[in-house]
Amino acid sequence: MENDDFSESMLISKHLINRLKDMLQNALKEDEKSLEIALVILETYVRDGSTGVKNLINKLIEEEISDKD
Amino acid sequence: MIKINSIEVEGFRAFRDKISLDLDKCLIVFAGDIGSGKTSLLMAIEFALFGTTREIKRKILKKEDLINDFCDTAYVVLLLDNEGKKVRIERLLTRGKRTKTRVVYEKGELFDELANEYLSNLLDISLDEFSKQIAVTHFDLQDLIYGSPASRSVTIDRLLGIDVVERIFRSIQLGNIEKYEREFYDKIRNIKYRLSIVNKELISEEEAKSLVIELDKLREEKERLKKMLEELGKEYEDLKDKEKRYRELKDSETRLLSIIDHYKQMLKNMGQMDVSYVIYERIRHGLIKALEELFLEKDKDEIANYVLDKGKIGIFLKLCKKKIDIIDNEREKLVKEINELAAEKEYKFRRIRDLERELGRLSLLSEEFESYNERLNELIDKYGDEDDLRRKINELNIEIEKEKARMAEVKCILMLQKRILEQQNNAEVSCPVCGCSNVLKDDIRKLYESYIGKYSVSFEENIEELQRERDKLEEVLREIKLLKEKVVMGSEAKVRFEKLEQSYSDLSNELRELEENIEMLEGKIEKITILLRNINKLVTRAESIQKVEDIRDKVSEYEKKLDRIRGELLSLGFDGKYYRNIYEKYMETKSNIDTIRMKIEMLEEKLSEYRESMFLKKELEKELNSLVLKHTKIIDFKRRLTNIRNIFRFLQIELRKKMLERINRSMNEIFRKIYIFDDYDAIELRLKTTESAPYRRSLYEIYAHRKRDDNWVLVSNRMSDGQKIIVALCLVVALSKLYNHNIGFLILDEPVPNVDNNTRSIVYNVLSKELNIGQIIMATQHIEGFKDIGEGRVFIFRKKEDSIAVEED
Repeated sequence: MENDDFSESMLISKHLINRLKDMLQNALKEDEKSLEIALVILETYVRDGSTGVKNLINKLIEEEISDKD
Repeated sequence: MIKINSIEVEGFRAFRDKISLDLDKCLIVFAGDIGSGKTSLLMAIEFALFGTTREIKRKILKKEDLINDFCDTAYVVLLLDNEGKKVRIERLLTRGKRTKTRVVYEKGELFDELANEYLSNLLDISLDEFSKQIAVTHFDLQDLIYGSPASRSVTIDRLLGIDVVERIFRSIQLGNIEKYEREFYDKIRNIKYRLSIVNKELISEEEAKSLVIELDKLREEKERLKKMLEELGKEYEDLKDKEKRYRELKDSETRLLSIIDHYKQMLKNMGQMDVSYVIYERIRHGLIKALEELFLEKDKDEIANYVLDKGKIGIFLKLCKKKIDIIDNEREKLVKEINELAAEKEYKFRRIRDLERELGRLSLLSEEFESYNERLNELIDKYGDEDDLRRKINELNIEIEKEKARMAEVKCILMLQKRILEQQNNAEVSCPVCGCSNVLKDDIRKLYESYIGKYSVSFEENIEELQRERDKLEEVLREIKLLKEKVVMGSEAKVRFEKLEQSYSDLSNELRELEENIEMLEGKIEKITILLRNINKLVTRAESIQKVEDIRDKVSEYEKKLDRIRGELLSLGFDGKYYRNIYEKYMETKSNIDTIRMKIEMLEEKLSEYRESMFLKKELEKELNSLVLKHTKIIDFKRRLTNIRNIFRFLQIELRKKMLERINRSMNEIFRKIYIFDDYDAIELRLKTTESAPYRRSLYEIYAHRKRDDNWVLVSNRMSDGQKIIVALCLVVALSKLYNHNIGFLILDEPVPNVDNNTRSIVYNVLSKELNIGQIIMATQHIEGFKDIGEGRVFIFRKKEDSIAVEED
């Protein structure tokens, strides 16, 4: 990315992101784990776009089915 | 609030040449035909503010596409007015290089990154927000009018800046989770199937326990039998050694008995042998005679002087055999000698035959010699020797020549006389030679002719006579010569005959001697042969006698050995029956152990199979549990993600709902000012929510209030295109006014394409004067609606050959 380009995150309003976070917290206050995932998805989308979210979900699936525990 | 004061472009998109426009009015209109550069100028504003454009962001264009095809650089200068403070933005784009940025503001100037940072803070709006809220394209309006409910909703969300919620919703994809879910499901089904097979083949635990008990019993039995086998083995090994020795001794005994029987049978067959020494003396005598015959005195003495003892008979016989060999060799030599003599005799015999033939020939020659000699003497006696004959022949030759001369002389005279007489013409003439007269010519001729004839005959007869005599003498001379030669040859043959006769006599004597020698040697050989035959017979017999003696000795020796073996057999004390009994017990025990071992192996195998199956079962169960757990986790995770997706949809609906009231208020305010007709007096954006599984869904719908029947109707179904575009414009402007930002201008690209000039004029007036927007920059193909524009500036864009001309109207 060239220095004079704007990052993708700038496509989304900071205000909206904060608003979405508040709403998510409100909607998922009973389900901590889902809230955690939803916030991570939101942050990942803001940072890396939809490809980032896809990768994140794949990673989460791998973690879920790993034999660690 | 930020407004645009002026713009300057050079080498940017459609603008090859530099243009400069003052935009310091509330309403700025770029009017011109298609491709006259209106949109390029709007793009230049976007590029100046953000250093890029939405088309570049969406990868529709590359940055270099902003540069005019006939230029190497694109230069844009935008002068902003921020509440009286001027900000100058300069962007220079060069092919293959980074964009250079310069910002001049009240505190100085900034470049590149710092300049961008300054602008970002100044504008406080992203390019995306700018493209939704400030610079609305006709595409957005078109979407609002003609798009499907879903696409309209997306556009409205985009204009509202909340479309990100839908994008997040869509990015949470469950495809991979469902793939894993299916995989786990299949694996679980497969393992369950395998488990069912394992369970089917698996024996029960009780059966396994009884197998273990049986196995332990068999092992105990095996151990007991092994001990027994060990004891039996020891005894068997001892007896085996004894049995081996017993067998060896028995074999030796049998063999010895057989040999002894054989020799005894031989002795029986040989009968009573004469064992007196006479036979050896006879051999000695015969050998002495034979050796004497051959003049082998030394060998003869050796035999003659040999002292015969009982123990030396074998040696004597060996010596005799040696001497027999010598005699035999000598005899062979004699035979060879005889053969040589016979060959010589044959040669001499042939030679005598040759001599006899030669002598016969020479004898014939000698006989002829006598007759030749007699004839020669007879001829010599009659005619003399060769010299006499030659002399006589010479004399006769001389006489013949004389007679011939005389005959010629007479002939000549007669011929002369005849010619002379013939030359005289007279009929009667006398001979001038002889004086004969009165002779007629014819008479003379006849006379002479008769004389010539008479004399010729006489002479010729004489000559012939002489010649005959001479020829005869010559014949005799030749015969004498021949006879002389033959006599010489005969004489030589006689001498040779005598010589050969002597040789013949000598050879005959030699042949006779040879024959005598041969006869003598043959006699000797015959004598020796007879002697040898006798001696050999005697030696053979003596050897037989000697053999018998040897056999007797051997029999005695073997009998002693046999006694020893029998003694050892007795001392061995081997019991064959007991040995067989032990052997049978040993083998039976071994066989029993093998049977038990096989049974144990079978049971062990069965148990091993059971354990393996159990292990497999446990493994499969473990794997199944793990898979079920994972499957459950995946289902749980899927449920969770589905829930999160639903939550995002919920958030979207909530956000939309919260915006609706404000949008509707602002939109109606604008609508009532712009829409001058009296059929509709209000518009409303509503949200239609559906609860269809698995996710909730909401769609925007725009309604208009129809005055005539006081009813709300769907804009998309009931309004004309012109009405729809006014509604869309109201919506866009209302949305733009919703936001709280520093930008004090609105850019509209062809906002009202399908309305009449009057309406368009009203729309422009309302937008510029009554909505308190600050500054509106508009691009349109329709110039007609700007007649009463008041404080605005209208720029006419025209294409001019290879450049764009912009003039203020």
